Formats: sequence, C-alpha cells, structure tokens
Amino acid sequence: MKKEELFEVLGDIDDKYINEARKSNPGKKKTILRWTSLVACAAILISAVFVTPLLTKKPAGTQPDYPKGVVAMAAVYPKAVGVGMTAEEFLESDESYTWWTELRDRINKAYGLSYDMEDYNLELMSNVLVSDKENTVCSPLNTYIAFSMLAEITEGNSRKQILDMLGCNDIQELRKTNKLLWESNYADTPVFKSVLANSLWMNEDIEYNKDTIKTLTDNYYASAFSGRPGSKEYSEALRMWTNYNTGDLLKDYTEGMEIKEDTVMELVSTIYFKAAWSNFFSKSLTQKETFHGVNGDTTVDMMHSSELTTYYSTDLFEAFALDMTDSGSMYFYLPKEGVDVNELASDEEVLKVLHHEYASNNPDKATDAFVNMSVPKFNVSAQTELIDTLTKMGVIDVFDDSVADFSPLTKEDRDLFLSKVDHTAVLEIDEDGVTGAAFTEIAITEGAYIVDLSVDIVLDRPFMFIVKAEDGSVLFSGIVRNIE
Amino acid sequence: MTDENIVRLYWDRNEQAITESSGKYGAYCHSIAKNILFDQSDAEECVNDTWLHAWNAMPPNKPNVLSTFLGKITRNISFDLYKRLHREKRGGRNIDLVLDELSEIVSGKDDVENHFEEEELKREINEFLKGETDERRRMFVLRYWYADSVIDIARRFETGENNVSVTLNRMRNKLKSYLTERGYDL
Repeated sequence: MKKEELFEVLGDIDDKYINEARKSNPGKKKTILRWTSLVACAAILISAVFVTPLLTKKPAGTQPDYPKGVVAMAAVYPKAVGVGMTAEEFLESDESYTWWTELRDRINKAYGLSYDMEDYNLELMSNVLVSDKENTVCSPLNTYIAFSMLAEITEGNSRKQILDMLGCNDIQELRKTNKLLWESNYADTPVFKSVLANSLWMNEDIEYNKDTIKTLTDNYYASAFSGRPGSKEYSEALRMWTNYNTGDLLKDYTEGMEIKEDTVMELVSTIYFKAAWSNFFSKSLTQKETFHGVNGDTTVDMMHSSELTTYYSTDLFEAFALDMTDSGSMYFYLPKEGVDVNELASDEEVLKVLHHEYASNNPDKATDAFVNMSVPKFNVSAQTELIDTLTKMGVIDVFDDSVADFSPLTKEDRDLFLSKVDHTAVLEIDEDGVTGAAFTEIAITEGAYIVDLSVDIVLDRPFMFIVKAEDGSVLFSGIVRNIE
Repeated sequence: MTDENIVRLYWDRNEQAITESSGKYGAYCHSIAKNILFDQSDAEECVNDTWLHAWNAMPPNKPNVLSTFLGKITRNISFDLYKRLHREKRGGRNIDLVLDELSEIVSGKDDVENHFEEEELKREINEFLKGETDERRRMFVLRYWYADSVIDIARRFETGENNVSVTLNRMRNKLKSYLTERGYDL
C-alpha cells in the first residue's frame, strides 16, 4: 500500500474520534466568548414654561425603580430571546433558528431603506465627524430615530424642514420607515444585542395632545414619563432610564443630564449594541505597537488577523470589513497617504462600499483578497452638540420660538422652541472578540473562486470606521485620531 | 444554528445552507485544507468546493455530525488537489512529513495482488484507536486526520514537541504490528 492510500483510509475513521480530537482539553482554560460593546444615546430637549395633567397613573414600568413622583408607562419591547443560555448554547438551540428566521424576514422588509437614508447619513457625518484633534463618533441611525420623533411633534414648516433633512416625503412614510427600522434592528439574544429605546418626558402640569403621544408610544415604542421638571427626582429618573438603556456605558456623560424647570417635553432615544466578531482575533497575536495619532505617538494593543474578505481601494482610502455574528459588519477605512482623514467624512464612496452590489459594480475598486489586518483596540466616545449641525442641514424654524410650530404636542398656546440637541456616542472594539461563533458573509454564493491577492492594512494612523447593521442601517460611524 | 437545522436547509434546497455552513464550519474546514495544501488560495478553493459537494451530497445524506461530514469532504478534496499539484515536487512541507511518517507503516508498493477489504481495514484501525488512551488517540487523529503540525499538537496539549513526536512514533509502530498480527501486509 502507498502512504497516500493509507492517508485516505485514515480519512474514514470513526466520526467520534475526529470530533473529540479538536475539542478543548478538559480541565484546561475554556475559550470565552467576548463581546464588542457599542453604545450611543441621543437626547433632544424642548423647553418652555407651563401647566396641566394628562397621564392617568399607571403602574411603573418593569425596568428601574424610578423615584417617587415620577409616573412611567414603559413601552412594551420584544422579549429577550435565549434568556439564561450562554452564547454557545444559544447558537446551538432551536430558539436561535426561529429567532433568526424571523429577524431575517423583518430585515428583508426593511431592505433598501438604508439607501434612502444615505444623504442624511453623509450630511450628518460630514458635520459631526470632522475635527482637528479629537476622536469623533456618532450613531446616525439613533439620531435619525430621534429626529423622526421630533418631526412627529412639529407641524407646518418646522416639520417640513425636518422631513427634508431626513429625506422623507411625508410623516406617514417616516412613521412606516421608523417602524421597519426598529423591527429590523431590534435584537436581544445572548449572542447579539441591538436594543433600541425611546422615551418621552412630559410635564405633569401640561395637557398634551393624546393622539400625538399615542403615535409616539405606538409607532416609536416610546416609554412615556410624567413628572415635575426641575425636581431632583425627575432628572434622576431620566438618568436611570438612560443608563439602563445604554448598559451604563455612558455614565460619564449622563451625570450632567437634567430636566430643567422650563421643560415642556424631552425626548430621549437610545441604542445599545453588543456583537461578537464572526472570526476571532487570536489573543496570542496581539502586540504592543505604535499608533501614530494626531496628538503624537502612543503605544496600543494591536490585534492581528488574516482574513479572506473584500478589499476596497478607492482614490481616497483602503477599506475592509469584519463580520459580526448574527449581525452586520464593521468597516475600517484607512486614508491613502496624503489624504486627510477628515476628507473621508464627506466622501460618499465611504457609504457606497456598504452596498452589497458595490463590489460587482466596481471591480476596479473592490477585489477579494487575504487581508493581513492590524487593528488597534480602542474605545472612543464623544458628546456632540447638534444644533449647529441641524441648522446647517436646513432645520431652522424649530429653534426660533416666534416661528416654531409644535402644535401637535399641545393645544395650549405656548411659545415653544428647541433648546438643546446633544448626541453622545461611545464605541469600543474589544481585543480577541469572538471565538467559535458562526455567521459570516464571505462571497460563497458566487461559487468557487481563486484568490491570489494578499494585502496588508495596518491601522496605525488616524482611520475611520462604520458599523453597519444587517439591514444596511449605519449604526455608528466615527474617526479615531488618537488612542490613549 | 443547530447542525440539524443546517441539514434541514440543505434538504429544503435553501441556499442559505451554504452561508450557514461556511459561517459555522468555514474556519474549521479551512484549517484542514490549509494543513494539507499550505497555499491559502488552494485551501480556499477547496473549502468553497466543500459546500458544493455538500450541496450535492445532502440529500440523500443526513449526517449526524455535520462538522466531520464537511471536514471529511474538505480533507478528500484537499488531498486530491495535493496529489494533482505535488506529484513531482515533494519536500519538507507539513503534509509531506505526515505522509513520510505514514510510509513507515506501509510498504509503498502498489497493491495489485494484496487487495483487501478496505472497510475491514478501517474497522481494524478504529479498533486499534479504541484501545488507546484518550490523549494518545487524539494526538494520532490530529496528526494523521487533521494533518496538524507537531508544534500545534504540542501547544494544544501544553507539552513539548519531542513528547508528541515520540508518542506518535510509538503509535505508528504499534499500529503496524497490530495490523500485521491481523494478517495485513500493507
């Protein structure tokens, strides 16, 4: 017999021996699934002064135990799936299959919406992400939802300006879009969390238009709160709700949140996102390396991996994406030598590469390659004041109490205006991320092919990133200029 | 997703089966192909071919253990490609070393006369493996089924390379005499 034949004979040994051989050693350290954690929160405040009660007292929501004097009607959110299971158990469960099939259907319904949101996303990013020295980060989807709620409580020209900014023809279309986006982006499993939440904070002394409030609670899954603005308890409840819905990741920023005495309504929109890499970064390959930041060199934990993926190379940047289990992908953009990273914030091609068909339509700019990637661990957070940005994007009337039209909110005669628009976001990518997880989108559907390109991308100088949801929504985008 | 559900997708002729397989077992199959072929793009090609073969094999097959079912396909395809590509050039690559080690068990001659029942032989090898300790059996399978490098095996067992080499050497000798005793002149 020839040795090759023996090798082939050995190929048919008992399955259980093949299986047990690769199992981790009993008693030895088990590989732990780690998470990528991302969070963002946006807040919009509308201020004015006045009085009259609306909400019938209902039992407080299930979540935090809010202080006395605060009435809460918690929105009903989809139940968490796979409660009590580990990530591995969940991935193997039938529950996961059912959940995933249903999510798939919802994503298909929302498909294409992200294309319509592209102009808004780009305009927002080109305003928010540009900076000289600071890291910048925002959640376009989160602001989109928050501004949609703002459109609901305005009328006339005030509303039209917001609809124009969001690229929507009318409020019905916007409502439908939000419902679909919500449903295709909401996930709460042991493997993947993308938890969206909205809330309304009302003044107990004001009579609101019930239809408007119902629209917000029904179509935007908003929890409704009623209390006395200016009281310690009400501000405390606001912080509790926000911390709860952002997984306590933004506590540094929520400390300063308060509902001022002259507040007529406050809207808060949150997103909490937690996903694991589909393909892990091997921890043993992580090394201390230099990051050439805008503020000088720093030593960072550089993760390394080699992956067969689509490699993008345009005039301005090189890019690649990493998939996340059950979720979308994270794109990394490294500006080409001589290109300022700020230029990427307004480059529409940054968003075009997110399209599934980009690679086939632009074979000169996208090829399959083994990307030898060096990705630093980082955690960036930023709070951005968005009034200027909104003004630049054509939303003007709401800031001027003489023309602002908030008539859907309350019939009372008040001079309302938008007094505060803050957006806070944090994004961190965690080192070895994922071991043993299971959802990738390598171009298998196109059948077998041969890859002969191999490229190295080292993110050791300022770069841009985008976290894309499975339905194409831009969940987060940011520019990393420095890593502490 | 469970293996059962993935298999169900194949039976339903749902192309999502391939996405799920490659998501769950792509890395596993790739590691097998890479051990045999060394060349990234060759390995990738074999892994992609694996899904196609799986697609054609299910139905009629309904594997209980999908990982090894797919792994076996990858191993076969990769080894076929290896034989095609490396008919002439042989040398110190990992797979060549694995084969050289196996050559200690066989004569290297074409078995025109000695045509024995392959199924019978497989059963004997399984019996032999059954009699080994868990650790030795796993080392053997990692080396001669997965074609893992000695250094990788040593790392997995947190032991020295020398220890692994010695263990494997003893097991090869033992397998040879085990089979000879049972009338196999390989």
